[in-house]
Amino acid sequence: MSAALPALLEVERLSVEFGSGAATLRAVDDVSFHVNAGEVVGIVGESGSGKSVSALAVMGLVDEPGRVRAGRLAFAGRDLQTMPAREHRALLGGEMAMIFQDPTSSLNPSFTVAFQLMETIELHEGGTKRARRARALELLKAVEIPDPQRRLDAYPHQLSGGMSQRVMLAMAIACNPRLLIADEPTTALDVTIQAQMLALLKKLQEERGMALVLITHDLGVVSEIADRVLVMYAGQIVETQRVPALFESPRHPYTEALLAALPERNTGRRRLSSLPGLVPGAFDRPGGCLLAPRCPYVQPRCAERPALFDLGTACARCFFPLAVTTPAPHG
Amino acid sequence: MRAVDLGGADASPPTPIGELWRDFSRNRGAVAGLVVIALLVFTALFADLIAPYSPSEQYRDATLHAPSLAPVGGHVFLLGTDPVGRDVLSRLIHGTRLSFVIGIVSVGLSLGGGVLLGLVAGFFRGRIVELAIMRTMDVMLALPSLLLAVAVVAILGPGLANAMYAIAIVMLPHFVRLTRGAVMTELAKDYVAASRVAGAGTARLMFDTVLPNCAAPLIVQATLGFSSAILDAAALGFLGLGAQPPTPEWGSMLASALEFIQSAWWVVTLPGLAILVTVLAFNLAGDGLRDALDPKLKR
Repeated sequence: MSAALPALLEVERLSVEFGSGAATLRAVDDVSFHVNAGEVVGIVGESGSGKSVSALAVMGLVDEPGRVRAGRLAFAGRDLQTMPAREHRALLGGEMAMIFQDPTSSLNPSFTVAFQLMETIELHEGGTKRARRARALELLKAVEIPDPQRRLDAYPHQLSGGMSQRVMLAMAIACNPRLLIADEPTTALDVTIQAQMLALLKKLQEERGMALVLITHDLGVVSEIADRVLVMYAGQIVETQRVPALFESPRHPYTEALLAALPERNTGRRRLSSLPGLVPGAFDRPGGCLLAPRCPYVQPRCAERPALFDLGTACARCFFPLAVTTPAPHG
Repeated sequence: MRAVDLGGADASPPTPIGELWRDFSRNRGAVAGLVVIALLVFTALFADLIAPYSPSEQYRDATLHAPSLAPVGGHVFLLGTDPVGRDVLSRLIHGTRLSFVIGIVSVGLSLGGGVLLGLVAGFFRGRIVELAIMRTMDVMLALPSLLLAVAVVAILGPGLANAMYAIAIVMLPHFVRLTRGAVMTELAKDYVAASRVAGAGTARLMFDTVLPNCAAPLIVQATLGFSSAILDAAALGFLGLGAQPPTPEWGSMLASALEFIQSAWWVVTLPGLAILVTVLAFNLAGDGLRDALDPKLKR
């Protein structure tokens, strides 16, 4: 936004559509954001809010029949849309990496951990077989896998979910990427492993100075490691703010509702606070503000479609952004 | 965080092959099938050494001689002779070799082509290529298999080689559909996306990433296809469209002895039994292999 240097990742007016004619679903609607080098950005939203699809679109992984349109999609100043496929592939895995939600299906079941790690290393760095194996071992150590020497020759089905996710992470960081997109990296893991995984992600991010985009529906995860958060709703960004501020004073009613639904903020109450209704689907998208049917503060003007207004320290897609409040006792 | 070494960690998990053998050997029928196949392979490989006589030599003084241990004109015909005096046992032994050649060639051609087409169809879903491949396969599946084989042989001309091509074509749709289905299942998994994120191109994804994971159903189908290839070849031979005389192919042996079905039971029964035993052995082994390779059926 105000950075003099071009951001590491620039996304402008990104839209992803599925289906055609009346059945067209805009999974991602006019999303713009950027990620600076070394920054941790959280993308938060409910299921179906378009957070994963945005990331897949950035990585060029949205297949037919999905349609990706963007004003600009650039990595380190290089336009991803006009880049030849070969160059794009070299960039993927080299400078941009991604890890996925389901660790059990993220590794190729036919090959050993060492084989898969070495394949990635070979593709981008080359080197002798011995050197690649040593590097693979080093990577397993970096992701803090217990007994890495023995895990090298394990097949994915012999690993636990947490270990598979660590191997995925090792593959992702194999070529020292400058940007790592983690799509719900902790959702499929136990709570204890989640905390370890987050600490590991944060540690690797700091050690290597890589930018991290963390996609999650868990605000608790974001509050721990993100510098800045994008809140998505029904394919749109509804709020962006830096981290402590977002939790202290959300500017968009949706963010406020998300925060209010955190169990930590509901101590002493009998029922967890929740927002009634569902994310609009392909056939029930409201004409005006997409949150209007569920918003507790809805006004007549909300029948119009709000833009993402710049509020100085934050951006919110709302005609009546919430006032900045003093830090809440639970914040 | 560091795991404590609890000892006993030396008990390494079974290798994939070891695990496969363990699951396979639980099925007795499958093991029996495998033993029979091993014997048949041995027979096929050393047919020249095992067979007592040449498969095409005619002993004119011993036509339609019944199976017996008694020598006729200085020769022992253990399984009797056929209408022109050829030793049935020798012909059956040499026929084993032919049957295996038929099985290997037609399954090989069909598997190779089917995997290639199936991979392409699975990777380019919704494109013209997929449509063209799959609709052609549907048309081929709509025809009765033997009729299709007969039609292909009618175009190419009768003969053993052409019969093998015809069988390969008949079996092709099964391999294509199976591969495409397996590819579609695998493509939906995250490791494929992970591989793409790591910068793998389409060819690498097809052959290195996805294909090894589709191997299990293909191995099973190939084993079962082997028996249907032998059966189809016998049927074509019986109709006079496959191997031509004097080739000792089991199907054509059946056909040439048809008129003696009442008077000389051995000339018809023995080739029939050979086909039966071979096909049964492959089917049993194939079933066992499927049980061993399919994680859903594992205990």
